[in-house]
Amino acid sequence: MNRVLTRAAQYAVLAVAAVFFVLPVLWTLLTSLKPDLQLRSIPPTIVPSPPTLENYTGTGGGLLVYLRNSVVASVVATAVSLLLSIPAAYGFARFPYRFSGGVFGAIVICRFVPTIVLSIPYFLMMSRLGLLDTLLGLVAVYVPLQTTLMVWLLESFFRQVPRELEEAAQIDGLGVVGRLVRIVIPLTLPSLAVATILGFLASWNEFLLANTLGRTTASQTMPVGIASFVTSFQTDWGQLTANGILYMLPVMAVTLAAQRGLISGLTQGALKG
Amino acid sequence: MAPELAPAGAAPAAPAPRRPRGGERGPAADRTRGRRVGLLLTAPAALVMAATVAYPLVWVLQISVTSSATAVTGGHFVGLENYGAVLRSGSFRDALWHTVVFVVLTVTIEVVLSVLLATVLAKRLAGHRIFVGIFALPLMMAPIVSGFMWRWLFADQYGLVNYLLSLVGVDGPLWGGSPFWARLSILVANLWTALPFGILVLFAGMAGIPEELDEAAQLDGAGPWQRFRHVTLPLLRPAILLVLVVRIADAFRVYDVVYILTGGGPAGSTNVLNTYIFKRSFSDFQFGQGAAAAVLVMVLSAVISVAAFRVLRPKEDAQ
Repeated sequence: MNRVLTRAAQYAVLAVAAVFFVLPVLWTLLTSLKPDLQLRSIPPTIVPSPPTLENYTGTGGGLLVYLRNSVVASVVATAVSLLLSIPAAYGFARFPYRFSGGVFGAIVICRFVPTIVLSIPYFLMMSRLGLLDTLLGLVAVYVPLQTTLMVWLLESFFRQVPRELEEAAQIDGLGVVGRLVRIVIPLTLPSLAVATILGFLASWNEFLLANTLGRTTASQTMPVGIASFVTSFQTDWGQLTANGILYMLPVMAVTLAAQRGLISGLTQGALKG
Repeated sequence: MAPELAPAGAAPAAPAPRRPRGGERGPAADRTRGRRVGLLLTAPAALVMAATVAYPLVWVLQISVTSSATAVTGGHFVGLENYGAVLRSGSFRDALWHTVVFVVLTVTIEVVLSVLLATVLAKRLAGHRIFVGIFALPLMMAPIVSGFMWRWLFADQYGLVNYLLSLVGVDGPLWGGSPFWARLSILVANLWTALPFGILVLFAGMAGIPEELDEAAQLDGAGPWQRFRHVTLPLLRPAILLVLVVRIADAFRVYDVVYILTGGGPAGSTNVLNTYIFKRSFSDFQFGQGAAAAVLVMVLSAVISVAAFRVLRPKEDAQ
């Protein structure tokens, strides 16, 4: 009897937490499927009847231009960061030189510099270079954001590749790049995916810099778009939630697909900055 | 071995034979070449980071000692004047106080709830993996999304929260209307994004604790609370330390959630350090004072993180 009660209490704790975490997403989803009239009914309509997709299709969504900016800035920044981080992490893991430990430490510690501190010089830098309110300027500040994280994660992943494999490949005449591309990268592909996703998310979710450097829809990303719509007076919650769902969808899909790898990557790398 | 560098493509890598130590060409030459390869591989990333983080950091220090109004075009050296102005200003002190209270409250709640939920997860009940998946979801989401969803949940008339409260006979407050409720809504929305990190780190930490220890304590007649207090908790200390250090540093720079939920209002009652710096710099264009405040924040959060680390680590050694 006592045991049954304990079990029930344990499930109750988990259930309460699960409701807390699911509720906002569920409510956002339900809202996005409601016709205009049910959005502002008092008391609130819980389940839309009938559910409609008009918020997703109507007037082009309004925020789709922000979504495009988010995709472009995040994808390009991720690609550039991978090109910088993969060789660097391999170098730090396998070819130490005199100050390589210090250089590695300096790159990793950049993750702990508060973004707000960098926002001021970034703003001045971009206005001097004429890159304010451009996607290029945004990519330029997202690359360090991702690189510091990727170098840190990838270095430990690459270190775990058995040295013997690389030595054998070296005897077979493979050069440094050959060993990296044909041995190390294929062997660490799952970890590489985790580092890529976490790097991507760092810019996909970024708000402060996007809000500082972006002035118009030419470069404002989805978080800025959402913020400006939310804080304006007549908010169309139907369209806003629909766009919010479109923005969250790729993240949710990736989370569910790569759950276990991501969680261990997160707990090891202790994300955010 | 000669072709080793060739495919690296980047820079012809200087003629290999220029190596003085004639006798030990084997390993020594290898090592020298390895160093050069390492330098070539890591230099691009290191240079980019130097240009995009190190240089801006030096710049922000320079701005913080430059006269505010002209910082953009150069300005002149004013010593610590900006720091003094910031420290004397009431709105900075308010923001600092709000931030400190927020950090203490949220990190305490997060650690307590994380320990509770991770302990239950660690029992590995049937279906616990589903819960892990659900708990991981907010971790991937932007804080801005959390803020936006909770703003809609907290809406006065159409909001779900006040509706649910009315079902149990409670008259829901105007969440954005008073300092207390506005602060509480920020705390809740932030908890939604931040709590999963603690849960998952502690859950991972518990997986590393051998079950035999718990069983041995049980055999010795220790009750559940005693086992938790004297077996689980001490072994969990490193994981708790990690959560504390990371979360204190992050909570200190809370911005997105505040911006979207309250914008610092009502009447500045939810202003935090980051919203203060943002306003000072990009609304008032007082870059000098903004930079000075930013430097203060950076130093403060570094000091607190190191202190948390120092205070908590010795006990871990003693166990």
